[in-house]
Amino acid sequence: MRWMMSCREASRLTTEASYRTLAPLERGLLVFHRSMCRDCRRFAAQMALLDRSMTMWRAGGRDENMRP
Amino acid sequence: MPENLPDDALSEQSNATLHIRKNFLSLSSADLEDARAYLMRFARLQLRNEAWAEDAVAETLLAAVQRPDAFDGRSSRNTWLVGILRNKIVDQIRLHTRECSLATDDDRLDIEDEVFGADGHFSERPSEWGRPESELREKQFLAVMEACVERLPDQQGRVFLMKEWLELDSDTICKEIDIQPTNLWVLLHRARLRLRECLQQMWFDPATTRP
Repeated sequence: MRWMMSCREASRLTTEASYRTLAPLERGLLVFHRSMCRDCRRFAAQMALLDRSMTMWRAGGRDENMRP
Repeated sequence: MPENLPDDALSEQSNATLHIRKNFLSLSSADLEDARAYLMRFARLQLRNEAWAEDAVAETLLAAVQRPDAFDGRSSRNTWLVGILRNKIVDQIRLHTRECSLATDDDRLDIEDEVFGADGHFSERPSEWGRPESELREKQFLAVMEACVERLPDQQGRVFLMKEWLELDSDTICKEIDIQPTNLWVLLHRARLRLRECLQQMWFDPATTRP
């Protein structure tokens, strides 16, 4: 893995971070990339929103009043 | 059962539980049909196969009727049924492992090639999605998200919901549908990219009329 990854690679690590613990090197490269890339910071924020909405949606399955 | 409650309170508590169980047993056919319709929505979304969904829901209702004692009344009846349905959906996935691991043409289309250019940068810059707190308060947003999940290609949708809704761990998913962990990460990544695109078009894009 190169020290400066592409947005495509960074986005893959961003989504994988929702499901697995990234290796220290992967985490470091991702943090470095995001510090210099506004697009990837926004993408990470979008994924965080998706995670929060999935949590609410799951809760909706347990509490029918929260279902859409 | 708490030991420090007086006998009267204990008796009151057991009467309340008994009342709830009696209520469950006295479901009318209309109630059962409502519960069935409610469960079918979840089962269809997860299994993407009408026959498998019907089987999972029928087994759920059968299990509920056979073991009404398991319903303690702490949650709503539908919430309790959804809890049973989760297990029945996993059973269906186990039963149809081979079909579940088959990818459709849509699954094979690489969304990454649409989202990223040849240089590895975003083809279209990600937009600001606003304040999550205010967006998430809206039930409509969750309805749109559910519609987007429905539109995921079969295998991506199944894997995504096994992870997100059934909350199965990665090893179990790989085992159940016979895929490698690297394939699982790719499927989940593509599912998220598709959801992101769908939410962008259906909710966040100001040019689009909200439902």
